[in-house]
Amino acid sequence: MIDKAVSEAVKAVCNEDGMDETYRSALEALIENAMLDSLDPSDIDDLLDQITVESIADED
Amino acid sequence: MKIRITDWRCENLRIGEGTESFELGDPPARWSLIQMPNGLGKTSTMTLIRAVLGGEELSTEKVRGFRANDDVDTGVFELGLLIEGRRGGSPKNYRLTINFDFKNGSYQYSTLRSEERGGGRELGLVLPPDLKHILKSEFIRLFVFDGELARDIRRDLNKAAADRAIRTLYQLDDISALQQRVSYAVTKRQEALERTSGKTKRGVSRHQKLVDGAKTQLTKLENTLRKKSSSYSMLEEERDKVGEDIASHMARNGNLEKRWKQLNDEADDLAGDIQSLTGQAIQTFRNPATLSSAITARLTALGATLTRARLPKSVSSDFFGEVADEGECICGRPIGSAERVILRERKEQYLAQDQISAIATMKDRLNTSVATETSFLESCEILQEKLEARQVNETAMARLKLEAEERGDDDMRPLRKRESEIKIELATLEKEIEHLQTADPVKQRAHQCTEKTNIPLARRYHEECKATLNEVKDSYRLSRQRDILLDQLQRIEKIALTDLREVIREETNCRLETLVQMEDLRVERIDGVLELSSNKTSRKDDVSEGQSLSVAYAFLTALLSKAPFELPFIVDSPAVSLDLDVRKEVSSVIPELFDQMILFVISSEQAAFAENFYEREDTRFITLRQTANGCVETRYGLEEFRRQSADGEIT
Repeated sequence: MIDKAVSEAVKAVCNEDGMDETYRSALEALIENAMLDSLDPSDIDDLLDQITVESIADED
Repeated sequence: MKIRITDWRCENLRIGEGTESFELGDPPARWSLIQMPNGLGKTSTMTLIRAVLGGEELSTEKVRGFRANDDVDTGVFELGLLIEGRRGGSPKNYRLTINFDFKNGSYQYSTLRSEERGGGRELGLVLPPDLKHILKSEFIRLFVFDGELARDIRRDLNKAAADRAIRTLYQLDDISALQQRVSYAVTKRQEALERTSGKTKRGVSRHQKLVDGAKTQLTKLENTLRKKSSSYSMLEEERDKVGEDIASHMARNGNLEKRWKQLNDEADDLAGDIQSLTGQAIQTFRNPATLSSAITARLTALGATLTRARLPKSVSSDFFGEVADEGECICGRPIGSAERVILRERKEQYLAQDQISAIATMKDRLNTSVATETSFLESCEILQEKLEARQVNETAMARLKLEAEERGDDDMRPLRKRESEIKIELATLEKEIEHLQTADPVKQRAHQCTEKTNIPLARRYHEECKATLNEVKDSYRLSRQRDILLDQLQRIEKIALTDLREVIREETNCRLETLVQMEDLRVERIDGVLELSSNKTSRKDDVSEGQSLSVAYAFLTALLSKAPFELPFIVDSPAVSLDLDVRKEVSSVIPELFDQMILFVISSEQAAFAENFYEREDTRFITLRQTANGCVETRYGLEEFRRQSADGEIT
């Protein structure tokens, strides 16, 4: 379990960025696993894949 | 996670008599007061507890400094811990040991986990991974605490930074480390891309231009092909029309018609023969045995060798599979389950039935086909004859047309001329179309085709450009996803630190209200440092020794009590520098601040400090005293503790 302050910070940042609950939960799990020294590198890839970015065409 | 110290023991060290054991109870008492006169090893004990918890590196001089006397060559310090995991469960015992070799000044850490299966002594410190991040020297100093330095803690915290303590204890450093791991993971993924190292917006634009250019070129070539194919069709139609006109003119010239018809029939037959012979020659070319007598001889020899060696052998993986299924081997020995497993594993090393069949077919072809095949040279010779015959036929037709012209057919000349022109134009177009559309790599090389001149190559180049563009886009997308995640982690770290500062500041101030009642001393801000204020001044930098110590304890206890880890608090000389009034205040408050406290005191700290523990039930009193003959004795119990006088003698 991560500290309440960290958990609240995750919630605040996700709310501000409009991330959904699935993402918030995955981000919190990622931080927790990093703190427990049991991070699987694929967890980082999975979380990155959940971040939606505008395509370059949209941006142009 | 909860950590308790159960005991420690030493052998041949400068602590007490040299070999001592300190038992704090089972379970360990909440408060342990260890009274040791100066010079009996308080500092060494504190140093060794810090070293063994943090796996500190020790200099040769430091190692030799622990040596009890010159008569001993080795020494041991062992610390007993009781650790309860984050997810609960029964606590586990750990024994952390330092073995010293005083002769060469070396040392070795080891761990004994008695409750581990097959538990034995393991080299190094083997503690739960959750603890790794807090068991760093700098942080250990906060809970294995030198009370004599307490007056300086606020100043030291200014330098060492309160933030660092918060960051360590609440693992905010792990969020920083996570950012590095995210960057590394993205870099590795981008490096794994086969086609490109481009990962920027500029790279995307550049590759988009390449795709657009390749697409334009492909379209241009396809349009050219369409035009040339159309021209070719029109010319073919015209050629047929001219051919018909020539035939009709021939028909007007009596005996020429018959010869014309014969030559045309002959031309049709030759065209059919040439087509079929070309196919046959290609087929023959694919059979190595027909290429040359030398190759034929070697293949025949190979076939003979296979026959002579009786290859492929009939033994196959199927055979071993069948043997494995039988109760006994063909030699009569019984086959048990172990043999069966080995047979089934090893049968894969042998040829399977389909592989044997393929080799048998090859051998059969080698032995039988050579004699029956038409050689490549023979095929070429026949084809050559037909090509020459066609040449003769074409010459005869041309002569016949000339003859018709000579007989006064004025239309024949322009028809013949046009026929000849069409033939050249068609040949040119055919060649150009082949350049444009051939997918045969041999022809492409022969024509020196490139993606600028050949449609299949242009199409492939376009596909490659698109694939590369997609990779660059993926890479760029990954960079942006990384940036977003890194930004979020930075903000999380910052918000959490700000919140934790505030929580700890408030908690520290609550404690200060009790500890410093004469003045409304408050921590105004924790921003790397502790900024104090009071009801008398908005910024207070000059605090008394007692106030400084109070701030130190209030901050440390607030920090540790709110942490996700319950740590023991070990302090050396907690009250030695305090006057009696402050001692009373401190001793009435700090016992409640920790679940386990180990206090090293000297006899002068009994007054107004240690005596406040006399009535507390869960307290262990240990007294080391020096006897008249110079020996050191360890006594347990309150009575012995109280009897210790200021010079270390029992009163």
